[in-house]
Amino acid sequence: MHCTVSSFWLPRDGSPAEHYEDAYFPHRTGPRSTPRLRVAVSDGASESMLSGLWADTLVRTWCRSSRRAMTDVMAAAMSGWAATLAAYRTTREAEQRPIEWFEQPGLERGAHATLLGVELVRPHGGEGRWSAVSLGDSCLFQVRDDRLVTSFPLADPAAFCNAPKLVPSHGRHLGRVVAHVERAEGTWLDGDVLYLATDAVAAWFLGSAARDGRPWRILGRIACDDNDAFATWAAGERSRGRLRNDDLTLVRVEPDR
Amino acid sequence: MPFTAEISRANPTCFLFLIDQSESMGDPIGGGDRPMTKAEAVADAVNRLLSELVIKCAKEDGVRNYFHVGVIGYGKGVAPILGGALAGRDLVPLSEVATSPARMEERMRSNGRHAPARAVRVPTWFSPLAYGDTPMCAALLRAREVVGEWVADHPGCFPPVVVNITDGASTDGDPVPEARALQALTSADGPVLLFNLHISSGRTDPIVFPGADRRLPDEYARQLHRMSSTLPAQMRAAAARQDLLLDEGARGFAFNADISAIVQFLDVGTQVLELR
Repeated sequence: MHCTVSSFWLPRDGSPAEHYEDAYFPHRTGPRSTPRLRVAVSDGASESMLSGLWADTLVRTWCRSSRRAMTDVMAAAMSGWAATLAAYRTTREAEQRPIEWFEQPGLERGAHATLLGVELVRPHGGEGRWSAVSLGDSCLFQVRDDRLVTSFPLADPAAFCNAPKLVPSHGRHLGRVVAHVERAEGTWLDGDVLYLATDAVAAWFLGSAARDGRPWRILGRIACDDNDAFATWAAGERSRGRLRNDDLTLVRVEPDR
Repeated sequence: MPFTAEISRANPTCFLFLIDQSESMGDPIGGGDRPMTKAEAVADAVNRLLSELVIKCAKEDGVRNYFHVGVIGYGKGVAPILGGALAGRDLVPLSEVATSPARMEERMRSNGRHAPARAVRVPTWFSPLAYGDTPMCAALLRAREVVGEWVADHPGCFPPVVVNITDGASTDGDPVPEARALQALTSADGPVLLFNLHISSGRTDPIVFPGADRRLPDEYARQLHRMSSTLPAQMRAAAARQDLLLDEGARGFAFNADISAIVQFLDVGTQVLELR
């Protein structure tokens, strides 16, 4: 299977790059040839500690895992997180910056993030298939022949709220968390384009589509690796009040290109 | 639309608490798990709220200054009452509140009914005091000066929230004109919000966030009701999450609050939009 992966990201307006708390994977963009491709985006919750790091852990674990069951993927991410947290505490102590009273509750509560993972395959000689898992409001859009044919898990621009479902970094209620995972699958054809977006871009995308717009024409023509062009587009939409001021992440997948 | 301004470090807002320190605040209050005075219950609740605000805004790079906060006491006089390194200051950025509690006290806390209690360090920024009259007009005037300066410096902010906590009638005149003058201050996002929390030693059921004033027992309660701003939608939504269904005209007002009503009132009255 041949495909081209492009990724774009931007912190919220007024924040430095190190405060970006979304994540995406893979980071290597451009054309590639692979029997199976996994891509993922995640949105770290603003009100938890280390949520950007947790979002990054989730997307890497999903993409690098050969496992299909979300219970296994989440358990792997959570078990890796304990080591990440221990290393964080060690670093803070080494830097003579012990954990403060106001950080302790957040670290105990754990980090939280959405997760959207998509897998594309094309068995030898067969049709292309995709499958997706989601927890939260990061969205997958599939565009074919200038039409939106898949919108998952949300399809209504009004459905975005301030309290999406999230994956916690602790495993205390793993069964309950996994029960909330939504799944979808479908087929892809040559020329289809898949977009993975965190909430602000996704809400913009669905809002534009609901007004009979063709948001994919705008996002589809940003050149691979041209994050500056993405930032210019975002600045314009933010200034017109059409794009929420939040961290932005978009991954575009063009199979068999 | 008012009350929709984004709260960010570039566009913070402020919370100002006015705390009655009159002598009657030394009387006991009901509704808690241990006997305490009204002054102690209020100090406990506001100190805990400050601590929760700090924790909510804590990130790995420090506490983000989405809010500036101040606490003004009125009794023997009218003055800011944050202690320690913050003494004498009206409004303080949250990151400084985080690093400058007046004291850290060790208390036993449990994370759940069956979890063993363990010692945690709890910050306090001010102590209870009950000494003097109830100069509410002077306190509201001081609030108008502090908040007036804030909105002049932050014209696009989510409107400042002023919470007046009292157990009795004003002893320095009719507070309604002062309250109106405070509520007349505006940012581009709407008028300053003034909420009034009346606390009581009695065992009467609290009246929390009433709409119309028909159920209120006397003229004093109706006066505080008149002085209280209507709750913005996000605060009504916060109340709904606590199973309090309020109508659109619900005001930021409570009468005869006990300890649990104080905590609920402060929680709802400081709920704002998502932080950026």
